[in-house]
Amino acid sequence: MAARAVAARRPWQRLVPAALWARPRRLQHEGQPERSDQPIHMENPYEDPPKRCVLCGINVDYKNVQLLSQFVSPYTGSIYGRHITGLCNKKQKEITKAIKRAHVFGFMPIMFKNPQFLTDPKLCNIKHPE
Amino acid sequence: ISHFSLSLFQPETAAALKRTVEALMERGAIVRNLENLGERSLPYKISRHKERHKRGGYFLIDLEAPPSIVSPMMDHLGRDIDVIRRAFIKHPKVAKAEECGGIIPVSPEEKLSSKKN
Repeated sequence: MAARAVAARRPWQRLVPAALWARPRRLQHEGQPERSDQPIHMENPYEDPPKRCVLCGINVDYKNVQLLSQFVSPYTGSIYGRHITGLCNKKQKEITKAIKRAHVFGFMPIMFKNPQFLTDPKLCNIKHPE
Repeated sequence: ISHFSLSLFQPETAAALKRTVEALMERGAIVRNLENLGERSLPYKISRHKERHKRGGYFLIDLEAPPSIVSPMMDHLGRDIDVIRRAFIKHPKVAKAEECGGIIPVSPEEKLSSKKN
């Protein structure tokens, strides 16, 4: 008796015909509850910050001969390529232009590296010096 | 349009500097600043006006002038015996250094599709 009373109070818990549960294929994914167990799309919080080259944020000037000499060979005075200096495109171009300017304006020697700056810390990973 | 002027002078030439700045002002340039970058031995020997120079004084003149001033000034400085080397440059933009955002990795598909050189 109590069970019948309980059943009467909750009419939605009556036996639901199976036909209601079988949905046509086209509507299968509609009306799904919002809380699904699919992964939530978000940016990777563990991603590394973008790699910065040695000169990122440093202003390159043709007058700064010491900085420019670090990217020049001590034996021939030739400018090191991108694969040796490891600079990003923008900075490599800026350095090249600044070095050529310094050559013309008479700030930096062309055929060799200024002996004053030979003992500077090495920025370029050159394995076989020319 | 603002320009920079750079000149290499023979050592001990206050008169030559004065001459240059006066010539600039005559053509209507506004001289903002005159910097002495020091006197040092040149990186390589420069021959100018039938002389081989080994030492020089470097001077940087910060000026504002119309671009039409560049050619006549280069002529004028070329005829000056005390000037070893002369140059006019545009003012470098200082804002570039702050915008660098690091190396953005390029996906291999982009590398394939983009044309090189």
